[in-house]
Amino acid sequence: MRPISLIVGLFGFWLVLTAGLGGWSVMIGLVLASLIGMAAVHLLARPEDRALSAGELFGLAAYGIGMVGLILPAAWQVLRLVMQGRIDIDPVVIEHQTRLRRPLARVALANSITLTPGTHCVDLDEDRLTIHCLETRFAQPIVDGVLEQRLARLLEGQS
Amino acid sequence: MSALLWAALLFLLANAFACLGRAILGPTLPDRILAANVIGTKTVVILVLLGVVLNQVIWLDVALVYGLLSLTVSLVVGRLMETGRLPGPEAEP
Amino acid sequence: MSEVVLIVAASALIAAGCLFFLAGTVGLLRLPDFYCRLHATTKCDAVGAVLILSGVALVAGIEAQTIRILALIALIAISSPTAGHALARAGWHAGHRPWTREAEHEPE
Repeated sequence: MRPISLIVGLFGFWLVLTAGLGGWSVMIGLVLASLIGMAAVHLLARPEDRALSAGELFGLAAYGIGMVGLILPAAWQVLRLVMQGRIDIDPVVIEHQTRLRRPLARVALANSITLTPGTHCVDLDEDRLTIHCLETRFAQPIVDGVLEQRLARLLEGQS
Repeated sequence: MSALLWAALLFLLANAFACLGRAILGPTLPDRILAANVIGTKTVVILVLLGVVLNQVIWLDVALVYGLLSLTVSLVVGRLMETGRLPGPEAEP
Repeated sequence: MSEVVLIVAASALIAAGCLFFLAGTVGLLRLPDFYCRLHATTKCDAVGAVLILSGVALVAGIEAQTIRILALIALIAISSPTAGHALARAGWHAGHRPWTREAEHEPE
């Protein structure tokens, strides 16, 4: 059942890119989308995977919009840092134990840590995150778990 | 407008060559791969700018394929560097 | 009138994008080690590319090519952090230790 939505999505992408080149193009697109969709599900899907609910999709969308607000200050901070005459940093590596349980939420957390100013996620192993910080003070929001709470609300339905 | 696009294009080209310097200097393997990855992102943008400046849509298709391949290369080379083999750790007997 | 506004907005976006790309390049060249350079490139490259492509999409108007540019924006926004994670993890597991200020004067 699950390949269907993937095939529909792939075929939609094909239609957008070819912009209606006639019957043959649509037919080839349909065949290719089915082949790729079935192969991808066969190769990549695991039995414990399940489809996202509407609420989770909404959560992901809200998360994506929130990312824009995070990455702009982060890029600006890097810009200021590298344009200084002397680069003054003292990098540390910290480990953080997350209380998020779903793999999707954990990946989202790692992603947002990378896009937050001064921190970059290096490794994610079960519930342990290894994080490289340009300075010790950038690690504080992660230890406090501000992002984690937001993600738990959005993707795990907790308050 | 086209002058600005050309300026941005040449500026990015100069940037890409500067990044090539990091790929040559190294000093470690990850540094070089990172530099290649960064050049890939810049190339995608350069291709899009070329497509708009020359008014030929085919460049945008080239950019799309280049972007997808660039991501794949980063992921595969990263995995190869991490495990020393392409199938990855979970495929070991 | 709206034409002028559109061109000014697009020019501003492209100029800002170039600035962020410059920051990424300078960071790649100046920062002391691989992990610090990752900080600069994952953030600045994604932001720079998205800004420039948005500017270009504004100028291009609603045509077949705009959809391709939007697809490219989505691709870069997703792929840049992903590639950053993959490379960071690869370097970490390959045994590269990050640069620290204390270790600066010690021999390798």
